[in-house]
Amino acid sequence: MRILTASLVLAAVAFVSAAAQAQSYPTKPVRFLVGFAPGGGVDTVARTLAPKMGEALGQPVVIENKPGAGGTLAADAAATADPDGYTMFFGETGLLIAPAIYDKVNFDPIKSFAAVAPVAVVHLALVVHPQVAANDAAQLIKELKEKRQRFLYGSPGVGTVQHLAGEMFKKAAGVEMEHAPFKGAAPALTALVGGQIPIAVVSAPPALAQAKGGKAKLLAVTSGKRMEGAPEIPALAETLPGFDAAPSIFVLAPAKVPEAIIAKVNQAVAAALADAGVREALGKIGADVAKPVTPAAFGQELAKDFQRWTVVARESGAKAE
Amino acid sequence: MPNSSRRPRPRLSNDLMLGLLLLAVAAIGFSAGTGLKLGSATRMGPGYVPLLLSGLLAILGAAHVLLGLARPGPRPERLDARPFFYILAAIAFFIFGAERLGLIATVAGVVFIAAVGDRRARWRPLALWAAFLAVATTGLFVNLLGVPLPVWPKGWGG
Amino acid sequence: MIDLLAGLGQGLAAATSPANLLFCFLGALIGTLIGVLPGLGPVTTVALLLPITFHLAPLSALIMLAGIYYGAQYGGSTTAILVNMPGESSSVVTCLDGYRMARQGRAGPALAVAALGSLFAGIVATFVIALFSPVLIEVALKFGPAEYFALMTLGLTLAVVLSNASVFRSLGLIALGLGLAMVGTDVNTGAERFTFGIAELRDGIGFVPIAMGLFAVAEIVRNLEGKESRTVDRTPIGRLWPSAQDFRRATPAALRGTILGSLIGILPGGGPTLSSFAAYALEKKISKTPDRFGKGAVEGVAAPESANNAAAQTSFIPLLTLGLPSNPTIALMAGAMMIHGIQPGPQVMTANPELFWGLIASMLLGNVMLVLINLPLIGLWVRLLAVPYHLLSPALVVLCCLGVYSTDNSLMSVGLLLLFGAFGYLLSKWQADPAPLLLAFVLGPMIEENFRRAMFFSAGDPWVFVNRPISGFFLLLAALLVLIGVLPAIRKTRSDAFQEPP
Repeated sequence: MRILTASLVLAAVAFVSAAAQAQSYPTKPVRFLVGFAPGGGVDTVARTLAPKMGEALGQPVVIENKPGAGGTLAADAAATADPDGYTMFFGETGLLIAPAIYDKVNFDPIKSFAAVAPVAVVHLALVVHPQVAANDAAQLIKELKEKRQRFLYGSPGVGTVQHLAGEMFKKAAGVEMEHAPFKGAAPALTALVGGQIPIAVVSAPPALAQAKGGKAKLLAVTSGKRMEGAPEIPALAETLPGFDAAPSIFVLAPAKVPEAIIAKVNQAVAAALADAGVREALGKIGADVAKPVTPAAFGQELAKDFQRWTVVARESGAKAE
Repeated sequence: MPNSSRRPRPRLSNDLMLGLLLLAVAAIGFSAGTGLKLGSATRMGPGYVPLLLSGLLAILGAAHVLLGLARPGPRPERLDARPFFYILAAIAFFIFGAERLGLIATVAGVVFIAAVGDRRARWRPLALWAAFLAVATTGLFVNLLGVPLPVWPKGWGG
Repeated sequence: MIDLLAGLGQGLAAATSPANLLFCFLGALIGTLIGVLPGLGPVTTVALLLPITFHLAPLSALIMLAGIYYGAQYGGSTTAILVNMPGESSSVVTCLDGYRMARQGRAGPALAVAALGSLFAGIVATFVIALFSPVLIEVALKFGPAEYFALMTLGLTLAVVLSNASVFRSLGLIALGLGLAMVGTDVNTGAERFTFGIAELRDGIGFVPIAMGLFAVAEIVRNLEGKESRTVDRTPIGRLWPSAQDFRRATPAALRGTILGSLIGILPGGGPTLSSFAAYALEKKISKTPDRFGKGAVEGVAAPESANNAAAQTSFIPLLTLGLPSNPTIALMAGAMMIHGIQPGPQVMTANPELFWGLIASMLLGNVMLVLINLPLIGLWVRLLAVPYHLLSPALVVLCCLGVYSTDNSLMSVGLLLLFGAFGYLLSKWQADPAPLLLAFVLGPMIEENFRRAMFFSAGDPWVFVNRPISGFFLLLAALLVLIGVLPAIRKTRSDAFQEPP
């Protein structure tokens, strides 16, 4: 009995102090983990947002890189961090794919985290070598269907959104291509420009530059709608209705972080994304800013995305075995 | 020096040791690589190259062992256990302490443990040196370069 | 040609503005300093400084970041020479003779030769970029997976030639290095191999922990061995400046290293590393006194240091001509261009000529500044060696640990440092040279990746390696090297094994 009372009191104290904590949060710098090395896409987005988020929170935002294993090491660290609100996590779509690809993933993309806020959508491009006859997605599909020769398509790696976008394209268009994975976007694009492979799916900005220089043809972005920075390029959804394969970047927190803190960080992300300078900087790296939503709404969105990508990853056969 | 040390019966030699090492790695390659798919020549699986390589390691390892037995070269140099143990212990202490004890205490500990490995270490200058290194590396790596390591032991205010 | 020289003139005008000169100097200085710090490489530094460059003019930003990149190549050789600590894969070979020279009290000449060789290589390579970029990139684009495989195989063959040990033993060490390179996620299928369930190993074993373990930690232990510490008879400092004989030997070596480095640097992947190994192997092969190599031969410092600096410089060619970065640091610079609204691509040269030529011209200035920064520092570095070893060694252990930790903020990497330190000490006891092992470790993943990709592209036809002219040529060269190197070695019984330094 005494034990019960004591634990009730303790729980009450903990509850009150947690509430007080959320009131005054943050009282020290907030650490945001990034699962990739400095300079990568997610890292650049995180570092672009950090100063404005810091302003909104009233405490500095520190970006901490914990690269490795496709971002899953940082996800592990974030999932098991103290849920005191001082460890947050910049995740991306790869996180939702990881459980379907890796043998051993210690976290559940939905249950181990509390959804905080969406950040941005990164556009991918379907590019072909200039000697490929097709000038748009419809022609490419036709060419792929007609010719009985082998078509290889390059991606930055097995299990990347780029790879899965390629597989989704095959399925949606009913065509055959063979996947040639590379170690990152630059080698894949180099192989395309050098004529080693006819087709590639890579992030949009570098593909756009190659297209401008006449070294490649950019047929479409793989997202559901056109890119804000380059509205002249059609979206694949215009040829294949409903097609939408683009990686997104978002903020997560360890599962047990109090709701009040999540709401504060959600606001800070929204404030940073509203900044004109941030929007411009993200636009330049091919990322379109996400529309602010409540943590709850974003949580539902994330759960839906998780299901969708799990199905795609399973069907693609990109299982590490 | 080489030929004078020949003896009739088998004994340790550099070739023998390296050969045994290669055989051990080959064994790991074969055993840990069994679950990996081999694939075809067009689309090789993840296990194709490791299998080839394990075979190569096994052949080279066996050859080194045979050579070492047939024509023993110079004996391997004697290990000196003291510096070996203490330098590695110092690194182990870093692994143990860096995230628990904070950088100041860890660096000081590493310096002292590493110094035990040196028979010529003198303790008084070493204490000063350890203090200096602790402060300097903390300033450089934590404050300037932003390496995410605690400065003080866990639970000390900061 | 005239156009190109005019362009260079325009670039010089842009690069010599006071602000740009300042950022060039800053970049060179920061690069030198981080090159000297073990572990902390140019990738991390450039990434950390990237946000700061948002506020600079695009050209200033690129000039500074490029300075950091090639400055780090400079600085990396300093620790390799002084304390056998290769911070970058491209300075591994510099350890072989540079550190020996330092042990003989010739650290000053070794550092000076490295600096002057790099300066020469840097200047030549800058002109190579200005004059031949368009031609060279066409050749580089012809490199498909078969060509890469053949080139890397040639590189491994060179590693056999480069080693002091017998051919047979080098083969064993190369196989070992290739084996270690298997750990991690398979690029072609995404499967995990030999990770034993450890998530940190999914990206493979890091270069920094393995190199620092095999070279630096093993050497620290060796130096502390025995009742009479080896450091007692460390030769006093000696002269700081190379002798006339040093210059006579180093100059042709630097020239050959520069040519090799300029060519290999264009290829994405292991450019600087491969070129430094290749340059060293070439010098040893054509030397009249190959016995001196590995015992403090000045050519063994001049050639690889020139080669890696030339390669660092020409590795900008794919970025500048096509907008395709060839290594992670340069990819970050491409990122910096994007942030400033300049999308790296084939059109940069025509759309932003001032940026293009300004960056190239700044490399000329930056290389001169590097020498101006580094030559006075030589005196300081050499004096560092006068610090009693019982104080220096604990400091080196601390630096190794922190340097390795800072590469990925993971204690697992420090654990690998521990493991490979122990392993390196054992290898040294068995008279086994870790350099071929390390080269195989660096090239291994690329060899496998390209071998499998080539087979995949050719639908399983192994003849691609021979039928494609560039690939066929490299493989022929490798086969010839094996014939020249292996046949006499087999006949010569085991005499080679006894020629190693004790």
